[in-house]
Amino acid sequence: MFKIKITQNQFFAEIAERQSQVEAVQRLSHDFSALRTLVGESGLQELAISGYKRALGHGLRLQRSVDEYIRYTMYFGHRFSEDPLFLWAGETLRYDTIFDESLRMDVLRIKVDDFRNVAVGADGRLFFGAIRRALGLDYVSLPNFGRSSRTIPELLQKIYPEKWSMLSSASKIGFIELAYKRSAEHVLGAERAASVQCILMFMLGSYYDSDPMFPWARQILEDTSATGEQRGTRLFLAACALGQRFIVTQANHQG
Amino acid sequence: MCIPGCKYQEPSRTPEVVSGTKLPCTLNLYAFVVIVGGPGNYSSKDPRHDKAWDNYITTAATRHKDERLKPLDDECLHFFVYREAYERRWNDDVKNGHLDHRLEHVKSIKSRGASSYVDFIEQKARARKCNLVWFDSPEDLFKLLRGLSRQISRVWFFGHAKSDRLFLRWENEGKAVVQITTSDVVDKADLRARFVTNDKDRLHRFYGCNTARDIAGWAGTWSKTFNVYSVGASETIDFKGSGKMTMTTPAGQLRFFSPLGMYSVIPYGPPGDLP
Repeated sequence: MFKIKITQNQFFAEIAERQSQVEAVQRLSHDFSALRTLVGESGLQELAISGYKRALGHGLRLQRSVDEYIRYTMYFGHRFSEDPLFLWAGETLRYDTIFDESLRMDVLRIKVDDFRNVAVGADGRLFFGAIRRALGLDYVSLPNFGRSSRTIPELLQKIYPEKWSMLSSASKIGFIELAYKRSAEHVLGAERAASVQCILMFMLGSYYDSDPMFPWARQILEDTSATGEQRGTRLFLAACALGQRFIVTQANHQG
Repeated sequence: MCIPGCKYQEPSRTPEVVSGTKLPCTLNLYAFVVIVGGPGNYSSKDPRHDKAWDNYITTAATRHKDERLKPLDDECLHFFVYREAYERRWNDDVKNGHLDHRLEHVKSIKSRGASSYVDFIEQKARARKCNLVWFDSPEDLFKLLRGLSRQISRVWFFGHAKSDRLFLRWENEGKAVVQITTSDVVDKADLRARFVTNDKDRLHRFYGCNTARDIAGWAGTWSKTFNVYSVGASETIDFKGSGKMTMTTPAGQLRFFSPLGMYSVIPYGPPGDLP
Protein backbone atom coordinates (compact mmCIF):
# COMPACT_ATOMS: atom_id res chain seq x y z
CA MET A 1 0.00 0.00 0.00
CA PHE A 2 2.75 2.36 1.06
CA LYS A 3 4.76 1.47 -2.06
CA ILE A 4 1.77 2.15 -4.26
CA LYS A 5 1.32 5.53 -2.65
CA ILE A 6 4.96 6.47 -3.29
CA THR A 7 4.69 5.34 -6.91
CA GLN A 8 1.48 7.31 -7.35
CA ASN A 9 3.05 10.39 -5.82
CA GLN A 10 6.06 10.08 -8.10
CA PHE A 11 3.77 9.66 -11.09
CA PHE A 12 1.75 12.76 -10.25
CA ALA A 13 4.90 14.74 -9.44
CA GLU A 14 6.32 13.79 -12.83
CA ILE A 15 3.12 14.81 -14.59
CA ALA A 16 3.08 18.12 -12.71
CA GLU A 17 6.71 18.77 -13.57
CA ARG A 18 6.13 17.91 -17.25
CA GLN A 19 3.16 20.25 -17.27
CA SER A 20 5.25 23.04 -15.70
CA GLN A 21 7.92 22.47 -18.34
CA VAL A 22 5.36 22.68 -21.14
CA GLU A 23 3.96 25.89 -19.71
CA ALA A 24 7.44 27.38 -19.34
CA VAL A 25 8.18 26.55 -22.98
CA GLN A 26 4.91 28.15 -24.08
CA ARG A 27 5.58 31.35 -22.15
CA LEU A 28 9.12 31.61 -23.45
CA SER A 29 8.15 30.76 -27.03
CA HIS A 30 5.96 33.81 -26.92
CA ASP A 31 8.59 36.09 -25.36
CA PHE A 32 11.43 34.87 -27.54
CA SER A 33 9.69 34.56 -30.87
CA ALA A 34 12.70 36.09 -32.65
CA LEU A 35 14.89 33.33 -31.25
CA ARG A 36 12.74 30.76 -33.04
CA THR A 37 14.07 32.04 -36.34
CA LEU A 38 17.60 31.27 -35.17
CA VAL A 39 17.19 27.88 -33.51
CA GLY A 40 13.81 26.58 -34.65
CA GLU A 41 10.95 25.29 -32.53
CA SER A 42 12.80 22.22 -31.27
CA GLY A 43 15.89 24.26 -30.36
CA LEU A 44 13.72 26.68 -28.41
CA GLN A 45 12.10 23.79 -26.56
CA GLU A 46 15.46 22.23 -25.77
CA LEU A 47 16.67 25.56 -24.40
CA ALA A 48 13.63 26.06 -22.22
CA ILE A 49 13.66 22.51 -20.86
CA SER A 50 17.38 22.54 -20.04
CA GLY A 51 16.97 25.96 -18.42
CA TYR A 52 14.01 24.67 -16.42
CA LYS A 53 16.02 21.73 -15.09
CA ARG A 54 19.00 23.90 -14.19
CA ALA A 55 16.75 26.38 -12.41
CA LEU A 56 15.34 23.57 -10.29
CA GLY A 57 18.90 22.40 -9.66
CA HIS A 58 19.60 25.80 -8.12
CA GLY A 59 16.69 25.26 -5.76
CA LEU A 60 14.39 27.72 -7.53
CA ARG A 61 10.76 26.87 -6.88
CA LEU A 62 8.79 29.94 -7.90
CA GLN A 63 7.44 30.16 -11.41
CA ARG A 64 8.68 33.69 -11.87
CA SER A 65 12.19 32.70 -10.65
CA VAL A 66 12.31 29.75 -13.02
CA ASP A 67 11.13 31.87 -15.96
CA GLU A 68 13.65 34.55 -15.10
CA TYR A 69 16.45 32.00 -14.86
CA ILE A 70 15.55 30.55 -18.26
CA ARG A 71 15.55 34.06 -19.76
CA TYR A 72 19.05 34.58 -18.41
CA THR A 73 20.20 31.34 -20.06
CA MET A 74 19.04 32.84 -23.34
CA TYR A 75 20.93 36.07 -22.74
CA PHE A 76 24.11 34.75 -21.16
CA GLY A 77 24.34 31.12 -22.30
CA HIS A 78 22.73 27.91 -21.10
CA ARG A 79 25.31 27.33 -18.35
CA PHE A 80 25.76 30.97 -17.37
CA SER A 81 25.65 30.21 -13.67
CA GLU A 82 28.83 28.11 -14.03
CA ASP A 83 30.49 30.47 -16.48
CA PRO A 84 33.65 32.27 -15.27
CA LEU A 85 32.54 35.25 -17.35
CA PHE A 86 29.60 35.63 -14.98
CA LEU A 87 31.10 34.56 -11.66
CA TRP A 88 28.70 36.89 -9.86
CA ALA A 89 25.72 34.90 -11.16
CA GLY A 90 26.88 31.57 -9.78
CA GLU A 91 27.95 33.17 -6.52
CA THR A 92 24.57 34.82 -6.08
CA LEU A 93 22.61 31.68 -6.84
CA ARG A 94 24.75 29.77 -4.37
CA TYR A 95 24.64 32.37 -1.58
CA ASP A 96 24.08 30.37 1.55
CA THR A 97 23.21 33.43 3.61
CA ILE A 98 20.14 34.28 1.53
CA PHE A 99 17.50 31.72 2.31
CA ASP A 100 14.65 33.49 0.62
CA GLU A 101 14.40 32.67 -3.09
CA SER A 102 12.76 35.96 -4.06
CA LEU A 103 15.52 37.95 -2.39
CA ARG A 104 18.22 35.83 -4.04
CA MET A 105 16.66 36.45 -7.44
CA ASP A 106 16.31 40.16 -6.64
CA VAL A 107 20.04 40.36 -5.90
CA LEU A 108 20.82 38.42 -9.08
CA ARG A 109 18.59 40.74 -11.12
CA ILE A 110 20.37 43.81 -9.74
CA LYS A 111 23.71 42.33 -10.83
CA VAL A 112 22.30 41.39 -14.24
CA ASP A 113 21.08 44.97 -14.67
CA ASP A 114 24.52 46.32 -13.71
CA PHE A 115 26.08 44.05 -16.33
CA ARG A 116 23.53 44.94 -18.97
CA ASN A 117 23.94 48.66 -18.37
CA VAL A 118 27.70 48.55 -18.71
CA ALA A 119 28.29 45.75 -21.20
CA VAL A 120 25.18 45.39 -23.35
CA GLY A 121 23.71 48.88 -23.54
CA ALA A 122 20.31 50.03 -24.75
CA ASP A 123 18.91 47.67 -27.42
CA GLY A 124 22.15 45.68 -27.29
CA ARG A 125 24.07 48.54 -28.90
CA LEU A 126 27.40 47.58 -27.27
CA PHE A 127 26.99 43.88 -28.03
CA PHE A 128 26.27 44.55 -31.69
CA GLY A 129 29.24 46.93 -31.80
CA ALA A 130 31.39 44.04 -30.56
CA ILE A 131 29.93 41.73 -33.24
CA ARG A 132 30.81 44.27 -35.92
CA ARG A 133 34.38 44.47 -34.63
CA ALA A 134 34.61 40.67 -34.49
CA LEU A 135 33.36 40.46 -38.08
CA GLY A 136 36.33 42.60 -39.08
CA LEU A 137 38.76 39.89 -37.93
CA ASP A 138 40.71 37.86 -40.43
CA TYR A 139 41.27 34.16 -39.67
CA VAL A 140 44.76 34.12 -41.11
CA SER A 141 45.97 36.98 -38.97
CA LEU A 142 44.51 35.73 -35.67
CA PRO A 143 47.10 35.51 -32.90
CA ASN A 144 48.15 32.20 -31.40
CA PHE A 145 46.39 31.12 -28.25
CA GLY A 146 48.76 30.67 -25.35
CA ARG A 147 47.66 30.19 -21.77
CA SER A 148 49.91 32.94 -20.43
CA SER A 149 50.15 35.00 -23.60
CA ARG A 150 48.81 38.56 -23.43
CA THR A 151 47.78 38.71 -27.07
CA ILE A 152 44.42 36.97 -26.68
CA PRO A 153 43.29 39.05 -23.65
CA GLU A 154 44.34 42.16 -25.57
CA LEU A 155 42.33 41.04 -28.59
CA LEU A 156 39.24 40.26 -26.49
CA GLN A 157 39.50 43.68 -24.87
CA LYS A 158 39.75 45.29 -28.29
CA ILE A 159 36.71 43.44 -29.63
CA TYR A 160 34.43 43.97 -26.65
CA PRO A 161 36.01 46.41 -24.17
CA GLU A 162 32.77 46.95 -22.22
CA LYS A 163 32.44 43.26 -21.38
CA TRP A 164 36.13 42.84 -20.64
CA SER A 165 35.98 45.77 -18.22
CA MET A 166 33.27 43.99 -16.21
CA LEU A 167 35.47 40.96 -15.53
CA SER A 168 37.27 40.64 -12.22
CA SER A 169 40.81 39.27 -12.31
CA ALA A 170 39.46 35.95 -10.98
CA SER A 171 37.00 35.92 -13.88
CA LYS A 172 39.71 36.59 -16.44
CA ILE A 173 42.00 33.91 -15.08
CA GLY A 174 39.14 31.41 -14.82
CA PHE A 175 37.99 32.17 -18.34
CA ILE A 176 41.41 31.79 -19.98
CA GLU A 177 41.98 28.54 -18.08
CA LEU A 178 38.60 27.22 -19.21
CA ALA A 179 39.22 28.29 -22.82
CA TYR A 180 42.53 26.43 -22.74
CA LYS A 181 40.86 23.35 -21.27
CA ARG A 182 37.96 23.36 -23.75
CA SER A 183 40.36 23.71 -26.70
CA ALA A 184 42.33 20.75 -25.41
CA GLU A 185 39.15 18.69 -24.94
CA HIS A 186 38.18 19.38 -28.54
CA VAL A 187 41.72 18.48 -29.60
CA LEU A 188 41.89 21.63 -31.67
CA GLY A 189 45.68 21.56 -31.74
CA ALA A 190 46.00 24.37 -34.23
CA GLU A 191 46.70 27.63 -32.43
CA ARG A 192 44.40 29.79 -34.54
CA ALA A 193 41.54 27.32 -34.13
CA ALA A 194 41.99 27.59 -30.36
CA SER A 195 41.90 31.37 -30.70
CA VAL A 196 38.58 31.20 -32.59
CA GLN A 197 37.20 28.94 -29.86
CA CYS A 198 38.31 31.42 -27.20
CA ILE A 199 36.78 34.44 -28.99
CA LEU A 200 33.48 32.61 -29.46
CA MET A 201 33.45 31.59 -25.81
CA PHE A 202 33.95 35.21 -24.86
CA MET A 203 31.24 36.51 -27.18
CA LEU A 204 28.57 33.82 -26.79
CA GLY A 205 29.22 32.37 -23.34
CA SER A 206 31.94 29.98 -22.20
CA TYR A 207 29.79 26.91 -22.84
CA TYR A 208 28.49 28.01 -26.24
CA ASP A 209 29.85 24.78 -27.77
CA SER A 210 27.20 22.74 -25.94
CA ASP A 211 24.48 25.39 -26.00
CA PRO A 212 21.28 24.34 -27.83
CA MET A 213 21.27 27.85 -29.25
CA PHE A 214 24.34 27.11 -31.37
CA PRO A 215 23.95 23.49 -32.59
CA TRP A 216 26.38 24.12 -35.48
CA ALA A 217 29.27 24.61 -33.01
CA ARG A 218 28.84 21.17 -31.54
CA GLN A 219 28.59 19.61 -34.99
CA ILE A 220 31.80 21.25 -36.19
CA LEU A 221 33.82 20.62 -33.04
CA GLU A 222 32.78 16.97 -32.81
CA ASP A 223 33.61 16.20 -36.44
CA THR A 224 36.61 13.96 -35.81
CA SER A 225 37.20 13.44 -39.52
CA ALA A 226 38.46 17.03 -39.83
CA THR A 227 41.77 18.39 -38.58
CA GLY A 228 41.94 21.06 -35.90
CA GLU A 229 42.83 23.65 -38.49
CA GLN A 230 39.87 22.65 -40.70
CA ARG A 231 37.46 22.77 -37.77
CA GLY A 232 38.86 26.14 -36.74
CA THR A 233 38.26 27.54 -40.21
CA ARG A 234 34.72 26.15 -40.35
CA LEU A 235 33.99 27.49 -36.87
CA PHE A 236 35.23 30.89 -37.94
CA LEU A 237 33.07 30.93 -41.08
CA ALA A 238 29.97 29.69 -39.22
CA ALA A 239 30.48 32.35 -36.56
CA CYS A 240 30.80 35.04 -39.22
CA ALA A 241 27.53 33.86 -40.80
CA LEU A 242 25.82 33.98 -37.39
CA GLY A 243 27.22 37.45 -36.73
CA GLN A 244 25.86 38.66 -40.07
CA ARG A 245 22.45 37.18 -39.26
CA PHE A 246 22.45 38.89 -35.88
CA ILE A 247 23.24 42.22 -37.48
CA VAL A 248 20.58 41.81 -40.19
CA THR A 249 17.92 40.60 -37.73
CA GLN A 250 18.69 43.48 -35.40
CA ALA A 251 18.50 45.98 -38.26
CA ASN A 252 15.11 44.54 -39.29
CA HIS A 253 13.77 44.78 -35.75
CA GLN A 254 15.00 48.35 -35.40
CA GLY A 255 13.64 49.25 -38.82
CA MET B 1 24.68 38.18 -25.15
CA CYS B 2 21.63 39.77 -26.65
CA ILE B 3 19.33 38.04 -29.11
CA PRO B 4 18.10 40.43 -31.79
CA GLY B 5 14.47 41.37 -31.34
CA CYS B 6 14.15 39.82 -27.89
CA LYS B 7 13.47 42.63 -25.49
CA TYR B 8 14.46 42.23 -21.87
CA GLN B 9 11.36 41.79 -19.76
CA GLU B 10 10.76 42.67 -16.15
CA PRO B 11 9.83 39.48 -14.31
CA SER B 12 6.41 39.10 -12.84
CA ARG B 13 6.05 40.21 -9.25
CA THR B 14 3.43 37.56 -8.49
CA PRO B 15 4.96 34.48 -6.94
CA GLU B 16 3.63 31.01 -7.75
CA VAL B 17 5.32 27.82 -6.66
CA VAL B 18 6.06 25.51 -9.62
CA SER B 19 7.63 22.66 -7.77
CA GLY B 20 8.49 21.45 -4.29
CA THR B 21 7.30 22.72 -0.98
CA LYS B 22 6.58 26.24 0.12
CA LEU B 23 9.52 27.74 2.01
CA PRO B 24 9.12 29.97 5.05
CA CYS B 25 8.19 33.51 4.01
CA THR B 26 8.70 32.79 0.29
CA LEU B 27 5.18 33.84 -0.57
CA ASN B 28 5.03 36.75 1.86
CA LEU B 29 4.15 40.02 0.22
CA TYR B 30 6.34 42.49 2.05
CA ALA B 31 10.00 43.01 2.87
CA PHE B 32 11.03 44.11 6.34
CA VAL B 33 14.49 45.56 5.76
CA VAL B 34 17.04 45.92 8.55
CA ILE B 35 20.02 48.03 7.56
CA VAL B 36 23.11 47.62 9.70
CA GLY B 37 25.96 50.09 9.46
CA GLY B 38 29.48 49.25 10.45
CA PRO B 39 32.10 50.35 12.94
CA GLY B 40 34.98 52.68 12.21
CA ASN B 41 38.51 51.67 13.06
CA TYR B 42 39.17 52.01 16.78
CA SER B 43 41.20 55.00 17.86
CA SER B 44 42.58 55.22 21.40
CA LYS B 45 42.25 59.01 21.08
CA ASP B 46 38.49 58.57 20.72
CA PRO B 47 37.62 55.70 23.09
CA ARG B 48 33.93 56.67 23.19
CA HIS B 49 33.34 55.39 19.68
CA ASP B 50 33.41 51.85 18.35
CA LYS B 51 35.44 50.27 21.11
CA ALA B 52 33.64 47.04 20.18
CA TRP B 53 33.56 46.03 16.52
CA ASP B 54 30.09 44.48 16.80
CA ASN B 55 28.06 47.28 18.41
CA TYR B 56 25.46 47.50 15.67
CA ILE B 57 25.25 43.97 14.35
CA THR B 58 24.93 42.53 17.87
CA THR B 59 22.26 45.06 18.80
CA ALA B 60 20.22 44.03 15.76
CA ALA B 61 20.89 40.31 16.33
CA THR B 62 19.88 40.53 19.99
CA ARG B 63 16.56 42.09 19.07
CA HIS B 64 16.03 39.41 16.46
CA LYS B 65 16.75 36.70 18.99
CA ASP B 66 14.45 38.07 21.70
CA GLU B 67 11.80 38.90 19.05
CA ARG B 68 11.73 42.65 19.53
CA LEU B 69 12.74 42.64 15.88
CA LYS B 70 10.17 40.26 14.44
CA PRO B 71 8.52 40.19 11.02
CA LEU B 72 4.74 40.25 10.82
CA ASP B 73 3.01 37.27 9.23
CA ASP B 74 3.05 38.88 5.79
CA GLU B 75 6.67 40.07 5.96
CA CYS B 76 9.98 38.51 5.02
CA LEU B 77 12.96 39.77 7.01
CA HIS B 78 16.07 40.95 5.15
CA PHE B 79 19.32 42.08 6.77
CA PHE B 80 21.38 44.45 4.60
CA VAL B 81 24.81 44.93 6.17
CA TYR B 82 27.54 47.34 5.10
CA ARG B 83 30.44 44.96 4.44
CA GLU B 84 33.31 47.36 3.78
CA ALA B 85 33.34 48.66 7.37
CA TYR B 86 33.66 45.13 8.80
CA GLU B 87 36.45 44.18 6.40
CA ARG B 88 38.30 47.38 7.14
CA ARG B 89 37.89 47.02 10.89
CA TRP B 90 39.08 43.40 10.80
CA ASN B 91 42.23 44.33 8.86
CA ASP B 92 42.94 47.15 11.29
CA ASP B 93 42.28 45.03 14.39
CA VAL B 94 44.55 42.26 13.10
CA LYS B 95 47.28 44.77 12.30
CA ASN B 96 47.05 46.94 15.43
CA GLY B 97 45.07 44.78 17.84
CA HIS B 98 48.11 43.76 19.92
CA LEU B 99 48.08 47.31 21.31
CA ASP B 100 44.82 46.97 23.27
CA HIS B 101 41.51 45.11 23.77
CA ARG B 102 41.20 44.39 20.05
CA LEU B 103 43.57 41.47 20.39
CA GLU B 104 40.88 39.72 22.45
CA HIS B 105 38.29 40.40 19.75
CA VAL B 106 40.47 38.88 17.05
CA LYS B 107 41.32 35.87 19.24
CA SER B 108 37.66 35.36 20.08
CA ILE B 109 36.65 35.34 16.41
CA LYS B 110 39.40 32.88 15.47
CA SER B 111 38.63 30.61 18.39
CA ARG B 112 35.08 30.28 17.07
CA GLY B 113 36.38 29.02 13.76
CA ALA B 114 35.77 32.20 11.75
CA SER B 115 38.40 33.82 9.58
CA SER B 116 37.19 37.42 9.93
CA TYR B 117 34.31 39.53 11.22
CA VAL B 118 32.56 39.09 7.86
CA ASP B 119 32.96 35.32 8.07
CA PHE B 120 31.70 35.35 11.67
CA ILE B 121 28.59 37.34 10.75
CA GLU B 122 27.91 34.93 7.87
CA GLN B 123 28.25 31.94 10.19
CA LYS B 124 25.72 33.47 12.56
CA ALA B 125 23.34 34.29 9.69
CA ARG B 126 23.52 30.72 8.40
CA ALA B 127 22.97 29.25 11.85
CA ARG B 128 19.90 31.39 12.41
CA LYS B 129 18.65 31.19 8.82
CA CYS B 130 18.70 34.98 8.40
CA ASN B 131 18.63 36.52 4.96
CA LEU B 132 21.91 38.41 4.95
CA VAL B 133 22.86 40.59 1.99
CA TRP B 134 26.11 42.53 2.01
CA PHE B 135 26.32 45.90 0.33
CA ASP B 136 29.36 48.06 -0.34
CA SER B 137 28.13 51.61 -0.89
CA PRO B 138 25.09 53.85 -0.44
CA GLU B 139 24.36 53.38 -4.17
CA ASP B 140 24.32 49.61 -3.65
CA LEU B 141 21.85 50.03 -0.82
CA PHE B 142 19.46 52.09 -2.93
CA LYS B 143 19.80 49.58 -5.77
CA LEU B 144 18.77 46.85 -3.34
CA LEU B 145 15.79 48.80 -2.05
CA ARG B 146 14.74 49.61 -5.60
CA GLY B 147 15.32 46.07 -6.86
CA LEU B 148 13.24 44.17 -4.31
CA SER B 149 10.32 42.38 -5.89
CA ARG B 150 8.38 42.73 -2.64
CA GLN B 151 7.06 46.03 -1.41
CA ILE B 152 8.99 47.39 1.55
CA SER B 153 6.85 47.44 4.67
CA ARG B 154 9.45 48.66 7.16
CA VAL B 155 13.06 49.80 7.38
CA TRP B 156 15.05 49.67 10.61
CA PHE B 157 18.55 51.04 10.95
CA PHE B 158 21.31 50.39 13.47
CA GLY B 159 24.48 52.45 13.25
CA HIS B 160 26.17 55.80 13.52
CA ALA B 161 24.01 58.79 12.67
CA LYS B 162 23.48 62.44 13.22
CA SER B 163 20.46 64.64 12.82
CA ASP B 164 20.31 64.76 9.04
CA ARG B 165 22.22 61.65 8.00
CA LEU B 166 22.95 57.98 8.60
CA PHE B 167 26.55 56.85 8.58
CA LEU B 168 27.37 53.46 7.17
CA ARG B 169 30.86 54.05 8.56
CA TRP B 170 32.11 56.88 10.74
CA GLU B 171 35.58 57.38 12.13
CA ASN B 172 38.43 59.77 12.85
CA GLU B 173 36.10 62.28 14.44
CA GLY B 174 33.92 62.41 11.36
CA LYS B 175 36.73 62.89 8.85
CA ALA B 176 36.27 59.51 7.15
CA VAL B 177 32.63 58.71 6.61
CA VAL B 178 30.29 56.85 4.30
CA GLN B 179 26.89 58.43 4.65
CA ILE B 180 23.36 58.84 3.37
CA THR B 181 21.90 62.29 3.89
CA THR B 182 18.33 63.57 3.93
CA SER B 183 19.06 65.17 0.53
CA ASP B 184 19.84 61.69 -0.84
CA VAL B 185 16.48 60.52 0.49
CA VAL B 186 14.62 63.42 -1.12
CA ASP B 187 16.45 62.70 -4.40
CA LYS B 188 15.14 59.13 -4.23
CA ALA B 189 11.52 60.17 -3.60
CA ASP B 190 10.41 57.98 -6.53
CA LEU B 191 11.13 55.00 -4.27
CA ARG B 192 7.89 55.83 -2.48
CA ALA B 193 6.11 53.50 -4.89
CA ARG B 194 8.14 50.64 -3.45
CA PHE B 195 6.93 51.29 0.11
CA VAL B 196 3.81 50.24 1.98
CA THR B 197 2.61 53.73 2.80
CA ASN B 198 0.61 55.37 5.55
CA ASP B 199 0.44 52.30 7.80
CA LYS B 200 0.86 53.18 11.47
CA ASP B 201 1.44 49.53 12.41
CA ARG B 202 4.51 49.36 10.22
CA LEU B 203 6.85 51.69 12.00
CA HIS B 204 10.27 52.49 10.51
CA ARG B 205 12.90 52.78 13.25
CA PHE B 206 16.24 54.55 13.13
CA TYR B 207 18.54 53.56 15.97
CA GLY B 208 21.31 56.10 15.57
CA CYS B 209 22.25 59.29 17.36
CA ASN B 210 19.94 62.30 16.91
CA THR B 211 17.90 60.78 14.07
CA ALA B 212 14.84 62.61 15.42
CA ARG B 213 16.36 65.84 16.65
CA ASP B 214 13.80 67.90 14.73
CA ILE B 215 11.11 67.63 12.07
CA ALA B 216 13.58 68.35 9.26
CA GLY B 217 15.93 65.65 10.52
CA TRP B 218 16.39 62.09 9.30
CA ALA B 219 13.25 60.37 10.62
CA GLY B 220 10.98 63.32 9.78
CA THR B 221 12.33 63.55 6.24
CA TRP B 222 12.03 59.79 5.77
CA SER B 223 8.39 59.82 6.89
CA LYS B 224 7.47 62.78 4.74
CA THR B 225 9.31 61.55 1.63
CA PHE B 226 8.07 57.97 1.66
CA ASN B 227 4.70 58.57 3.32
CA VAL B 228 5.42 56.23 6.22
CA TYR B 229 5.49 56.31 10.03
CA SER B 230 8.86 56.38 11.72
CA VAL B 231 10.65 56.80 15.03
CA GLY B 232 14.10 58.08 15.93
CA ALA B 233 16.15 59.30 18.87
CA SER B 234 16.21 62.92 20.02
CA GLU B 235 19.66 62.55 21.60
CA THR B 236 22.78 60.46 21.26
CA ILE B 237 22.54 56.70 21.78
CA ASP B 238 25.06 54.60 23.62
CA PHE B 239 25.53 51.17 22.00
CA LYS B 240 26.77 48.91 24.75
CA GLY B 241 28.25 46.14 22.60
CA SER B 242 26.24 43.58 24.58
CA GLY B 243 23.15 44.21 22.48
CA LYS B 244 21.83 46.92 24.76
CA MET B 245 21.45 50.54 23.75
CA THR B 246 20.43 53.51 25.84
CA MET B 247 20.05 57.23 25.41
CA THR B 248 23.05 59.03 26.85
CA THR B 249 21.14 61.79 28.64
CA PRO B 250 18.06 61.72 30.89
CA ALA B 251 16.34 64.14 28.50
CA GLY B 252 16.46 61.52 25.73
CA GLN B 253 13.22 60.80 23.89
CA LEU B 254 11.92 58.54 21.18
CA ARG B 255 10.07 60.77 18.73
CA PHE B 256 7.43 59.46 16.38
CA PHE B 257 6.69 60.92 12.97
CA SER B 258 3.79 60.55 10.59
CA PRO B 259 4.00 61.73 6.97
CA LEU B 260 2.61 65.01 8.28
CA GLY B 261 5.02 65.62 11.15
CA MET B 262 5.90 64.66 14.73
CA TYR B 263 2.92 63.20 16.57
CA SER B 264 4.18 61.54 19.71
CA VAL B 265 7.08 61.52 22.16
CA ILE B 266 8.14 58.93 24.72
CA PRO B 267 10.75 59.87 27.33
CA TYR B 268 13.47 57.23 27.32
CA GLY B 269 16.25 58.34 29.57
CA PRO B 270 19.01 55.96 30.69
CA PRO B 271 19.29 53.23 31.80
CA GLY B 272 16.27 52.08 29.76
CA ASP B 273 17.20 49.62 27.00
CA LEU B 274 15.65 50.93 23.79
CA PRO B 275 12.90 48.75 22.29
